[in-house]
Amino acid sequence: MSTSTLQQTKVVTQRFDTADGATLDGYRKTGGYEALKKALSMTPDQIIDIVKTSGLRGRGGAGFPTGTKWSFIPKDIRPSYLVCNADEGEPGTFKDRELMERDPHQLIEGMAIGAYSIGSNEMYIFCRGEFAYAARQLERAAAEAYEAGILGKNIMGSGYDLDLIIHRGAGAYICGEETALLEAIEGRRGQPRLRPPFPATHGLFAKPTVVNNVETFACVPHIVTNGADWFKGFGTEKSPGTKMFCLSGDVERPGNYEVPFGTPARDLIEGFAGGVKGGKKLKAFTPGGASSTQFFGPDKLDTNMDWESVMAAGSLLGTGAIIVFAEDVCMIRAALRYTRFYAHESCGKCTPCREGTYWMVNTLERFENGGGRPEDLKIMDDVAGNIIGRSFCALGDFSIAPVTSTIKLFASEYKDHIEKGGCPFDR
Amino acid sequence: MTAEQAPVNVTIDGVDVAVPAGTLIIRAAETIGKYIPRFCDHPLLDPLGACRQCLVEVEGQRKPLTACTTPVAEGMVVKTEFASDLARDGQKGVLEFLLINHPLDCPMCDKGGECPLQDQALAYGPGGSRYIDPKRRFTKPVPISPLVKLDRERCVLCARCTRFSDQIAGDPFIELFERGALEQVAIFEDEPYESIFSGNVIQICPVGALTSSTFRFRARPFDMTSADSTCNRCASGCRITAQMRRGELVRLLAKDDGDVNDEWMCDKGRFAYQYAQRPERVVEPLVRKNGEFVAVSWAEAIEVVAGRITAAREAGKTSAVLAGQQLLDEDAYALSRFARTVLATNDVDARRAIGGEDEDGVLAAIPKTITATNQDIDSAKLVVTIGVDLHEESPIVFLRVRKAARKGIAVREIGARRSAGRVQGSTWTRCRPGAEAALLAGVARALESRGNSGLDPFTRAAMQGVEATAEAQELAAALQGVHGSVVVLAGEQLAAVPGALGLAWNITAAVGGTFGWIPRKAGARGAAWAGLHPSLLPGGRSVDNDDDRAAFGEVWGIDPPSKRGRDARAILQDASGLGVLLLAGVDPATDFQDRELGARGIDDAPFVVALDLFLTESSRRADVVLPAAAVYERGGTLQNWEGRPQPVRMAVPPAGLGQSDFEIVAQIAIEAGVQFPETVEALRKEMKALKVTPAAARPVAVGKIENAASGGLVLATRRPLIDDGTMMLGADALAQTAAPLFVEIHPDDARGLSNGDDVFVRTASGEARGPVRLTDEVARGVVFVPGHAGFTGRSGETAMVERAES
Repeated sequence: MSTSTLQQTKVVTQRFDTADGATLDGYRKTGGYEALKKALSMTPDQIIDIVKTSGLRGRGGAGFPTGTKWSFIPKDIRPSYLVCNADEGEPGTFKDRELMERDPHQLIEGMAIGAYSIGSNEMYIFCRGEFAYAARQLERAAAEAYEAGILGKNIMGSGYDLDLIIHRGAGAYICGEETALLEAIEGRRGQPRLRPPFPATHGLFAKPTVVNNVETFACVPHIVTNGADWFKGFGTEKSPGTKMFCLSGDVERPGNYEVPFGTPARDLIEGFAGGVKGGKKLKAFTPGGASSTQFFGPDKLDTNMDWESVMAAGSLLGTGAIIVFAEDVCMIRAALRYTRFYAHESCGKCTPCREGTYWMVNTLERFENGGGRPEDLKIMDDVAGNIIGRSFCALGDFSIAPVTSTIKLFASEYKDHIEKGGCPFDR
Repeated sequence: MTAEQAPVNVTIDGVDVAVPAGTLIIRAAETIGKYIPRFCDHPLLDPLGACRQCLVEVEGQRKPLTACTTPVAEGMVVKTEFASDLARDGQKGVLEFLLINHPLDCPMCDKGGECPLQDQALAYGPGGSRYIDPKRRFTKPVPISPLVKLDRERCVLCARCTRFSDQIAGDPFIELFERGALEQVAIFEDEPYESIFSGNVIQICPVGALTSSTFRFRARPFDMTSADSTCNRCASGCRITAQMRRGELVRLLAKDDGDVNDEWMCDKGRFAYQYAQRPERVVEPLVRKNGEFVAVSWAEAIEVVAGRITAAREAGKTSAVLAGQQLLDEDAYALSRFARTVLATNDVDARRAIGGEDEDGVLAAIPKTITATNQDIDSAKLVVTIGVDLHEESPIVFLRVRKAARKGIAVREIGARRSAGRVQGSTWTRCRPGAEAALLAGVARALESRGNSGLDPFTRAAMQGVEATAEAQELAAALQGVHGSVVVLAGEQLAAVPGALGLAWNITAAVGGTFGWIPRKAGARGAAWAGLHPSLLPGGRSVDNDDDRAAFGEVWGIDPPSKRGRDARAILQDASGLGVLLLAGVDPATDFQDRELGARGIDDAPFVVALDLFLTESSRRADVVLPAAAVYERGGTLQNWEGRPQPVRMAVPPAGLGQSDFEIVAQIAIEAGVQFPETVEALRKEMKALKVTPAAARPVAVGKIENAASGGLVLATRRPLIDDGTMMLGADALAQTAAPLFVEIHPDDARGLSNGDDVFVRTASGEARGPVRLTDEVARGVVFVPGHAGFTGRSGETAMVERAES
């Protein structure tokens, strides 16, 4: 397969190729803020209807229908807030960062439409702390938008007031969990909140709040401009639209590629990303970031990348981060790297996630260092079973995937580690 | 409370139970005796769901749920660990996790024997661990305050301590830090954890992570005996459990009593108990012979005292009783009866400062009136405090008010200085010391103009010629707005301002509110009931009133004297004419407002008998010192600020030959040939016979109110909770938490002074030196200096503040 036959379907990334797409002028030249103008002439309910009809689903990992989420906001409780989750911390995921760096106005426009449709006058972007450049781009774009009357009092002469606050995180993966994110904005320790009540009624400052991902908001202006049917023209019935997939790991051309949902994984890995690095064989890949519940082997290369197909194949689409492992990668070491990440990022609030990830890291380290025992596989499986479904939030639930996936797919590598008294890939 | 909601029907382990809507599964299970294990859950803290130990199966749910965060729903079918593999496996898995990093050092851990983690591991844990890798290690123990030590390795991160500090006490600076397995309880490097409630975090810690610096390694729970009792360190009246090892008191714990102290107590109550076990205790009767104290038998001492009393009586000399305010109800009553029947005098007083005629009126009224209770605070719409800093003077009432405020009840503080205790949404009406009566008279005037028709003639007379200030108008609006749902809590300092206590009492009645008197000392209300007062007899009866006096003939066999007695000041001023001066649990040379007068009076009195624990400034001047038993060394009753009688139980035998005040005076009476109850049962029978049924408040006489000094700086002072009193003896760790002397003034009064400047404060009766703090939490024109560490100034005095030359 050659790249010449493959074309990206650029919707949210369409301005990435323009030189001045990140500036207000460049954005406006390409139709920017026309959608907001149109939205402000509609009723909030009309917009929510369009978004609902478009079938737009959240791009942060869970795929919840966006229009439905917006419709949960009670109309009689004010103030309400709109929050953008830009704490993109999922390993292998780097789409939101590029969206913010290269087209910040698109995000602001999408958020403004969302805010208007839920009747909020105050929006927040919670930007991952490490994304210094993205945050600066957002701040610059916000300043331009204020200057141009797109934010602030009486935006675009509509009589509607809208403010934007850019809040930079302090470097915690858990703040990507929406209630921990809200805690952090409120100035507290980023730890997830008890639910119910849900953010739709008791969110930021205990007021109704919508939290959506960057890519989700980026889709919104295009849906408002072109209509729900246009949007549904891409992708599958249950996964309409396009999706940015983040290709990384052992591939020739890592990067973000925007394609319609349903594009086979093989097209993304072997086509857009140019195949496994150095012509090596593929050993495994994650269909949706570290938090895919199951890694895929080469047999899953023909899986269509949409919510339903990936789920049917036994995993989750997640954020659409495809990390590719070549044949010479030690999967135990890979699992250890992932699990260390979870152990490091576990917020510590609940016992299973805090202690379970710690336990798994120590065990995997032992395998790498030659101390693995046959019974450790069963113990790790038990540990994983005691984390999933018993943790406070999804971080714990997802933290077991690298361990359970590798035990399932690469049991022989564990055996090798035990027999050879350490990591055979080091020899 | 919202409208009556229908109960919710649930099934737990096959048992049908109906509970109020919103009840958590863990609580619902408790109602049928099913204990679901838990570490982070605490019924008085907001649900957290962190430890995950309480997993249960709920029919229809794929995953096990935490019983501590899940409210019941109609028709819910719950299976606990007793009936569900899912729940049991879930709990087992969590327990295994909690133990992998736990040091398992139970044999040397203070919590061993009373540790929920140990109990849970014993009941459900495996015999060994599957975890073989290195455990998380931390430096330990880390002192987080002089009283509390932290062992992070034992911590299960349940956040009870941090939630207690945040939700209950409102004290910041103990927090969770770091993430993952490194998450830990800690304090900030530059912000000390300062809390007068810190001991509670030790008590609610479900493991041995937080331990007490005074109890560490002292005893095993199973080696101790326990006695439930009541704390006597303030008028809150916390129910406590005293614990002894080999006859020595080693620990005090707060006892669970939702009506009084929930399950909290303050650090003073918890940590200041060593005094009774000090070698300085007086352990045998002492009689002065040739100028020196000589230890004698009880028989000899009683004979000496009774002889002097008889001689004085025969010589027609008046004797007098000065009593303390930390006595048990029985002792206070016995002393009052002793004065009236044995000494035949009304020269009896338990006050350290003498107020105006309105104070007499309120003290007389309290035993006969329905006064405020903790439950009134819970259900009020507005709580007003005046002349009292609850945080320092009655800390558990403070927690009660804070809890009410968290539920949305309005709280208003009237005073010269904002309380250090933080109450959510409370408002502060500034009032210079001495101006309280004028402010309240203004409130009365504003109430009248708002159409309040409940004002009594005394108050109407007092408000003549008084203008209602803006503050008074605002207060009146607030009071009138919640007519009938207000609780007014007044402290003893209010009595120092003529008219203020009486006006507070009368105005409370006029707005349909309930009045609560918050004295500083545990026995003050009992002393008022007992009539340790020159014009009062037990039950608020008056010595002036023939009918009142007649009630005693039957019970005592002797009528009390009808002549109004002299107050403590007059007794001390004219002590040389006394026959016998009996001091009971009181140290006028230290505690009386005019301490020089206290010392002089004792020196002047021809014969002084002191019932005391120690040789104090006063008792060392006495002629006979009789060893009294400390509160943990005897049984009895102690009525708290509400008038709630609470049992005090003997926890340890009296030191040496000590006896209760009642036992001592009973023996003197009998030796002097006067009939007196010989057993505590007989004494209580009398007290019961003299009981009065409380009725609605009646107005008290107010008298003339005075205009407060205007212009210049006025001193506000108050003894802090953690002070340098006698009963702090031996409580060295607690003493380290005492605030050093400081001087607070409003920034507008700074006149060139900056924060931290070393200053002198001088008033007519005291002087202090300390660093100045500029803060808008004192009213303009006010200097605040805490009343301890040798500072003897009095509120309302004109104060001079000047830079100290180094």
